[in-house]
Amino acid sequence: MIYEERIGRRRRLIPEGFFGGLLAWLLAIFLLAASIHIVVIFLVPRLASSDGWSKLAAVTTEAGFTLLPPDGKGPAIAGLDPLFVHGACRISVKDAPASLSFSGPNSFWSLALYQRRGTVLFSVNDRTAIDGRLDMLIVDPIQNAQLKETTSAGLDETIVVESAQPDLIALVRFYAPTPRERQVAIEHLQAAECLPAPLEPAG
Amino acid sequence: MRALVIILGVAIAFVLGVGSAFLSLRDLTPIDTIESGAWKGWPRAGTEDEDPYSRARLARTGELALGPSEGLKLLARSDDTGGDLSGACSYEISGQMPAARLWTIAVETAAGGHLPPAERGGRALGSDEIVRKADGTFTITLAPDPQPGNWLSSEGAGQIRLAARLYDTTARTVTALTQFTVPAITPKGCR
Repeated sequence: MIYEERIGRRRRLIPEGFFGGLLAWLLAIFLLAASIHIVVIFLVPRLASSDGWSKLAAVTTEAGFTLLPPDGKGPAIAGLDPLFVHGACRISVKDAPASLSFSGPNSFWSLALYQRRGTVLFSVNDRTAIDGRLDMLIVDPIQNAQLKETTSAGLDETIVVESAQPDLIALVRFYAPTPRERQVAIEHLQAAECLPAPLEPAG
Repeated sequence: MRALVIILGVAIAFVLGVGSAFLSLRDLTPIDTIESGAWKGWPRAGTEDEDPYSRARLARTGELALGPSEGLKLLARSDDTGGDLSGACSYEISGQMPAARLWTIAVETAAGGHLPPAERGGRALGSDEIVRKADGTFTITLAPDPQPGNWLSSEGAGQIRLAARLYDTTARTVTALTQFTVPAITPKGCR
């Protein structure tokens, strides 16, 4: 008797279906929060303006390597090894292949080709170099087909990299722990070439 | 009443979603890492197989990951007892690095920024300038004051982290963590 009365009172205080509604509401919040979380994670790389690519793109040109700070001018780029001398060059293969060539100092060096999203298309270190020299030709798929048709001499020692995306940034790292080695590395970098190299017409 | 409940729900979901995304990017992403001791590395960062969290984190910090033929970066923000690394304390970094042709170890701010050059000592050491013991292991002292032997200066720094960069290394392809030897970071007291 008393028990039934209690239930009756509770029914009046809390409307019918309240707990089901609350559960649905919490579930909806959770699902919405999860999808917002996922959208934000995927949007950050697209919207970020301070990502590594943008910072490099702001200081580099298509004409030769730019010495990066602290040796060069401009704001510091995060995550670079302080014991290395870095140089970067903008590459566009839209109109013509790009040619990259330099001779490294006698210590470790490496090179990476970065795509717009900050992913590495191709990387290489001094072990691949012939007599400490690196010659690289960056082409798009069409130029690569043309290149294979002509197969001119002198490409045996050249590394040919095919890029589906037209825009790349080449980043060279020279290991130079001492001031003397830094100077040598800077000189190597200033002599390095990075320029458009139009294909010679077939024939 | 009903509309109010829906608006409140959407607002809560927005705060939770954005907040959790921010928190998961603020710290070093624990997703897709190789881990040993206090050290963490992201071998797939900067590759096509990179996970979305690592990509978002790199976009936020502005870092460019080392390429597969270049090397691998390892980070340590705490010592082996789990305490945060502080510029006011001394630590002993001892043992061996994973196999690499060259490696460097550098002190950074906890967020990965550059520290101003130290008045005494250096902020980074290369494997070719390290003094080793007969068995090939090394001991580096990370301290704000000059130390005998291999010394990394944390002079004038607050919260710090250590970045070990392994160049031309096989550590990128390590899957079993047992093959992965990293130096121990032992706290040696604070000033």
